[in-house]
Amino acid sequence: MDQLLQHLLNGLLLGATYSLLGIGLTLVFGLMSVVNFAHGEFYTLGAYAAFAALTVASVHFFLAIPLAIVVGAAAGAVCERGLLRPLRGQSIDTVMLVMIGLWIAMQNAELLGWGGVAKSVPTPFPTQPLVLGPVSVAPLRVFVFVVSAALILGAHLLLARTKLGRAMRATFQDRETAALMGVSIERIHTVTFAFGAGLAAAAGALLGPVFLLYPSMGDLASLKAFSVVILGGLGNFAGAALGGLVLGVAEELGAGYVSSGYRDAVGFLMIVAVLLLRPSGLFARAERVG
Amino acid sequence: MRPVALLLGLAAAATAPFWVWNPYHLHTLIMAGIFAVLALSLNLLLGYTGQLSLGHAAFFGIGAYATALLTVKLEWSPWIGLLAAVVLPGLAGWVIGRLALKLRGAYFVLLTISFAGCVSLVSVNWMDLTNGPLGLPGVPALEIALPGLPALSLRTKVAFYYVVLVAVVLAYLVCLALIRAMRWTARPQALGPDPP
Repeated sequence: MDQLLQHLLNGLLLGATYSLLGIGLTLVFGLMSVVNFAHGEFYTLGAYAAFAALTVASVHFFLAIPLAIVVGAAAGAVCERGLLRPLRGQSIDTVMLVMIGLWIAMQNAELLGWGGVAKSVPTPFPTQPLVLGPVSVAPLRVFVFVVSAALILGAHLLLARTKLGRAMRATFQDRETAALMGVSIERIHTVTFAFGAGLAAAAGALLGPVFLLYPSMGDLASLKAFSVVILGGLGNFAGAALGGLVLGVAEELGAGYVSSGYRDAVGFLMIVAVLLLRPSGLFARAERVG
Repeated sequence: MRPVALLLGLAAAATAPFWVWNPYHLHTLIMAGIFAVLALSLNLLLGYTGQLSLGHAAFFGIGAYATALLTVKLEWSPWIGLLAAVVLPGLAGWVIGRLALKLRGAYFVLLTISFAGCVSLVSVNWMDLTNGPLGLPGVPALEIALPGLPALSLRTKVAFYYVVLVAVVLAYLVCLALIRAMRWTARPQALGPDPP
């Protein structure tokens, strides 16, 4: 029983970062109809940006995370202006191929810049776990969870309460009508992509210290983000937030009770199962997939 | 002009071991041939049906493991291994295709990536079968044994180059025949823009 509690707690703590990854991806898909296979690369970028800020510029740990978000969002904005804007009106498959190209290019740029050796990020947190009754948890993980939850809440408030958020939701619902009402679609697209990239970079900067940094770390992050988004339904914010927690818990249970080697298979199997059995997502409205 | 270029290209490919002296360059040519077969396979799917499979590595891997396991663990003839490397991934492709081709675009891409991810995790984690990340060394070379002659091992780079060259040409001809055969039934290009 205690073991189960421990797995559930670990799963929820990890799942919050998956939610963060998934929300960025789902917003970009819902608003821009872009299947962003380079999403994981913004995660890698965030992790390396935090690492560079900590080790090269030796800024404080708590400042490195917002810096990484800014770097990720800026890179996202540049990609949107340089790559996606010229492709507006092209078919979704064409844009997807370009994003796959961006994924490969960014990954090899990381490899060129940082080398293939895994790096670990120093943190100010003690490694001694906090013991809370029957379960124990590393302080770093709690910090990661709290920041992730705060960012998800912030993203929700931005979408639900601000003028920019209203413009984004309007664009999501009906691009043409939103444009007629004076919403600058171009600007909304840049902001949305930068926002999604920033959230991915935040997840990278948060999970970087938990795991190790290496250039291909974004591949798994992308696939987790896609599992989350497929689980929640493409374009569904709440679905992505919930889907992240579901994936985190499912992975933790799979690793704990089946085999830790197959931890990453949970996400893959979820994609396969959901796509074949309930392709519109577990909590979603219908969308044509075939 | 085209037949002349084709003949020149074929002649260059057929004589390559005689003017490519550097073994590394020959090795590169061999790898290029192997990946040409892989690209032909992807072209059949992406070029003619418009579906992008990012899971092709899985079929490549299943083929490689089929040959390696049959020849190393069961000590079967490498020729049977080679045949199994065509048949088994073909069967896997049929099953995956039946399931995955219900989906289009990004959904198809994701399903194929996920399938490849599962195959890769199994090959890394199933130590007893695949020897995990250490791999399966000692896959025997192909041999040609004609009656009355000593067995000819195709282990050298030059011999293997010709094995690969034959494979590329065969794969090309099979793809061509397949597309020709489908011309008057369900022309696969027609599936590209607007599937049923």
